[in-house]
Amino acid sequence: MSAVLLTRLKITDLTALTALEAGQRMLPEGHTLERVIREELFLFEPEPGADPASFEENLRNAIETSNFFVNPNKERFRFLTSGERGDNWIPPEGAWGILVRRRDDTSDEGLRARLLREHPLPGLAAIRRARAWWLWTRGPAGDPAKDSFYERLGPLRGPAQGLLVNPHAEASLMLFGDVAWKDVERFLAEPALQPSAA
Amino acid sequence: MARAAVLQIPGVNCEYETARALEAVGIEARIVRFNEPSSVLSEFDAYVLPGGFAFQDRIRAGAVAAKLPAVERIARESESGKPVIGICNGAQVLVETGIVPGIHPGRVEMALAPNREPRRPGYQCRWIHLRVHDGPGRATFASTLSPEETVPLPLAHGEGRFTTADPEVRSRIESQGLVLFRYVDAAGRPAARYPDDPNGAMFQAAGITNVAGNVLAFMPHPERAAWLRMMPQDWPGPWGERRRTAIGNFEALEGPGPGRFLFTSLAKRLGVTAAQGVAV
Amino acid sequence: MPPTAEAPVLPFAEADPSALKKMLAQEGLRLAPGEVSKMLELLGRNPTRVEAILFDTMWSEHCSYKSSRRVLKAYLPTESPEVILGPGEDAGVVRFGTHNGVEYALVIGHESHNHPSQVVPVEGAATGIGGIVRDINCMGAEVIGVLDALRFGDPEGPRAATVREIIRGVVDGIWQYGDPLGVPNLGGDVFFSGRYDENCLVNVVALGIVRADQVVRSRVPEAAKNEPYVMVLVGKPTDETGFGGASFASAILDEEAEGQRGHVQVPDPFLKRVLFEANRAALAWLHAQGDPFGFKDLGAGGIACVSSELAAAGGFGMDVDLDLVPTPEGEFPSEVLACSETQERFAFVVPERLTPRLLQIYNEEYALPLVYHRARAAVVGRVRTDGRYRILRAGQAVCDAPVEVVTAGIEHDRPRRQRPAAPPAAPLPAVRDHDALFRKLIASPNLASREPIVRYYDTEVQGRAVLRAGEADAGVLAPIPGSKLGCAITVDGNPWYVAADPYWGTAHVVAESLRNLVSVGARPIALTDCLNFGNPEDPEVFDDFERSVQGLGDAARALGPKGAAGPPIAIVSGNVSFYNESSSGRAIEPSPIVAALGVLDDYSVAVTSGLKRAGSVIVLTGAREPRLGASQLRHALTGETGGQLPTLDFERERRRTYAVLDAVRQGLVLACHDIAEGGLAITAFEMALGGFASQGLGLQMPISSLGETAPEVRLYSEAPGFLLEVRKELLPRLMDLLGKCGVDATITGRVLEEPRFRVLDGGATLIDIDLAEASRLHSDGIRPYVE
Repeated sequence: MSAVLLTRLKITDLTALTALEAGQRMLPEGHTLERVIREELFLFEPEPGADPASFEENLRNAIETSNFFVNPNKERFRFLTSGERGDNWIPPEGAWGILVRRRDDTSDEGLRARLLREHPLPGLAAIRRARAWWLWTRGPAGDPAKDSFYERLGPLRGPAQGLLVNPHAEASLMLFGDVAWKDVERFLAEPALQPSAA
Repeated sequence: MARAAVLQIPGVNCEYETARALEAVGIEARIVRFNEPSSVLSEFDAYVLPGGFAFQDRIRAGAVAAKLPAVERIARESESGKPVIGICNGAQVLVETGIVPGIHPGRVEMALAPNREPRRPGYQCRWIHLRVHDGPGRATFASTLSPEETVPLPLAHGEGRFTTADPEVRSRIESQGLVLFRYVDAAGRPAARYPDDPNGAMFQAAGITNVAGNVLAFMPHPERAAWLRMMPQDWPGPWGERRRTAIGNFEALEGPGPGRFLFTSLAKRLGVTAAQGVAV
Repeated sequence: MPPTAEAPVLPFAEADPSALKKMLAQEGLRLAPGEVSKMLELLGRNPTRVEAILFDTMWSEHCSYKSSRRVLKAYLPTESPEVILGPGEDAGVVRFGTHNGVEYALVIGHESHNHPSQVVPVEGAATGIGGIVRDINCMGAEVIGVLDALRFGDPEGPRAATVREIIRGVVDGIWQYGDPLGVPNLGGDVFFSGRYDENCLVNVVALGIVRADQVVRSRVPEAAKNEPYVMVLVGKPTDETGFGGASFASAILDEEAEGQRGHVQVPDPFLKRVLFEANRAALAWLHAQGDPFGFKDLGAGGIACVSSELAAAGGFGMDVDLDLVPTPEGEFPSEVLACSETQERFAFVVPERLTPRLLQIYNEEYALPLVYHRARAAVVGRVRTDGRYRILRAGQAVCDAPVEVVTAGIEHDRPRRQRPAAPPAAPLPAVRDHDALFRKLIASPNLASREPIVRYYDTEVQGRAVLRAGEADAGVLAPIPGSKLGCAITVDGNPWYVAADPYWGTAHVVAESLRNLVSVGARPIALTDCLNFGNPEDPEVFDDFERSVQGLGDAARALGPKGAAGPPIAIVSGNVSFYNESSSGRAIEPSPIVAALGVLDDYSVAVTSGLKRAGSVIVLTGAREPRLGASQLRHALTGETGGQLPTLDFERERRRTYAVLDAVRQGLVLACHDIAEGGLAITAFEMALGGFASQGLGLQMPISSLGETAPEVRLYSEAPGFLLEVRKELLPRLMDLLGKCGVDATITGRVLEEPRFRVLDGGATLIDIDLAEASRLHSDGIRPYVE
């Protein structure tokens, strides 16, 4: 049971554009990378026994009234409470994704400590962070060819293989379709993950 | 005359002082733009990837630059034994290409992860100490440095933590002597905690080489300490003492600083005689 | 001019006062009704929307100095033998020296970015740096350093949460912009006071170096009479970010500001770094061609301001074609293209025949379109010799006027009224426990270590550092490889002083900035100022302003090397920021901030403030006095900041300042630190601690020879002075030098081998603290507000 904040740039996202251009250069004939969107994810874990409604209301208030997580000059955001968000995380229309987290503990203690100093949030146990890459792809057969693209643009194996994840510092979760939020929660909460491949 | 290329990838910002530090030891340095025909690069005897923020650290520090044809070309040239140094952001680029540590050629085997620091992590600019250890890279990058010497150097990075997820790679990095430089405290003992250990890197590594010992990924900035005048005046220890003694002595301050060893070692390896080294 | 879809005309002339007010609000214009009349008179007709916005920008306080110009002109000395180019262009230019037969100049600029930093701290502070470094670069110079003067609210006060968010945001903005740019941070200062709770100050100073014969002017050159000249726009594609920026900078902050976030610019240090490199190549190539050219950065008012000012400064006109302006995807109204303050842009005026190669440098060699989506260099304007200035869109003029009409400027005479005198300050309570007071003071926000902030700043890049931020009273660079020439720079301000007495408070600020320079052995050559005040329409605020400027000018004249009889330390660049006040209308403390620039003929003489040798002696020059007004002591004991300032005798101060310069230059001192906030005790403590690193020495300081006053007066009086560390064997020479200059000197302490800080008064030990412990207190003082 956690609340999720997703932010993305409303100005041109040069990182996403660079990922698009760099990715395009790495693909063989017949593979097309059409679009890339980057989204930052913050997962707020309540302490066991905390009342979700008041916890999430306080959190929403902190997000909306401060620049703490969202820079309104540059970013738009979605705040998804455990009640509203449904069971699954659904990718944007036509896209699939790769969720990337640090290999070691994802919880951002410094951020939590600062937040609590300025916006008392009873019941906040941890803030965990990750980054989602949403990709619009087309393989030689005209389908999204997710596996093939994941192989080429996902975890880094060699200089010409992999781009968006360095498995020695990061771990990734494939978002090939609807993914249960509880799987996302588990992926973020697990300590020091072993790489999916090295 | 030995020639070195300093690769200017958009966003790097240490190319000029790096070139000056090379020139000071008699190596002819040229700043080569990333999009010059990559055949130009074959003409050089050594390569330096300077510090900065190549492609704004988009995706990850070094990630985009590692895919550039110019970097690919330098990786190929390194196979013939030509020395390559990546400083700070340059180290991040080399690690992202996989040529360091290069235990299984063609694979990326390490990362430079975000610093592990108490309280707020992130970018920091500070002076630290390191010592050299024996290994295949010693002859090229530290032949003029004694293992008993404690070297103060500045660093400036947010992602400087050498790490690998592969236990075999980890143990071979250690056993094959690839950790050429390690952070130590002011007295020269292994850095046990922050801030002596600035980022939590495995083996307190400040610099790791490839297996062949001709490619170095180095996080501190030796070019920012290549002249004595760059040394902080109140620093404890022999280098600080040299700096204090040189107050009022321009010639001494224009002499070598603690970071010079890397460049003199490289010059020696490239066959540059001492006479060719001139202060710039 | 007939109204068209491209150039809608605003019917101001026909509007009655209330309709006019409504129209102005609707258009987002801040022109006063009287200013509208003047615009109509100048144009001889109603303006187009683009014209109205252009006048609105040009006549904003930020661009026009309409309230301040008369005062600045009346009091500030701007010329001296050191000055090559004083105020008027984007930055001041002063002589530096000659190396290998080439004459070099230093370029210095000083700006504020206060309001944006209050609303969006990260972008606000970053854009502040982004703007000032462009000002330096567009004079043809390489930028070699930046400094920031920051003023924040009370981090423990009623608005602590917001204040801390702003502190962190501003610090992030500074390092996240400055570090990638590859320009070292040379220092700065930070001051906390409750009156900045709702209006922080972010002032930035930037320094550059250029060959004296390659200073580039911001104007169409004379040669444009003989052959076609065009304007080339370089950099980021023009978009709506920063639209309305200059008016925003001049607006009073209120709740409405929440809705103004879209006005704030989006800075990009990476693109700026690439542009700097491309500019370096382009300028070198243009200088080699030998054809005169002009270069200017884009700031407030965007393309419209830059093109009209370039044209007017050379006595020309221009046609600007908005259809040629590179943009991101999408459609943009003419007024956005013409006036948006999109960041990271420059403009050249060059002979048309040079443009193919110039464009190639940017678009191909430095690959602007590759590194930044839709960034590029493009020809967007054509110089006219008839003085007519037009902006065109789809073949239609959206602005059309004689250039001198557009750049005419405006001036206001603001009334002043002296504030009623403050009631005399209450006497201070007696201090019982000096050790406890000292521990409290070294951790207090205004006296605590700045290390938690500075460690985010790159102090080393470019490899020019000699003394860095925190090491000494001023940052020192050796800018020219292989040359002995050094330059030193510092930035200072004490708002409590100026609030207590605008004239003398400001004079103290100038004196302190010069003390900082001579402490490192630098000869002062120039000053810049940024004058941050409240609403100039408030007669008391304006009186503060005028008296402060008077104090600034008088001090700059009196503290020149030969005193008022000789040349002044000229003020070569500056900025005025008004309307700094809270939502309830309470102005900030009057906050003039002064940067001082100095030259070392041989940088090797520079010393830090850290103690160097056990057994050496500490000498105090500058008598302690019981006037403790606006001191850190008074604030710590009473929470108040008023009272009588320490005496500043210009002549005595001048003699002492230049005597210390001689002492440092002759190598008589090992360390030097000027006395300012926190007085003798804090100054001595900082020397013992060492700013950047510590050798582990200590200091014992007997104060019984410093007069009969209470110990807290001797310890915390902020009367001007210096502490000098001197080897025993050189003590007689130092005392002799100071004596010959008519400067007082007292031996006040000796350097210990062990790391303790000890203050003795007769038989009593007032303070005795282990320096490792003191260092922790000192460095953790502001850490919770930053990290």
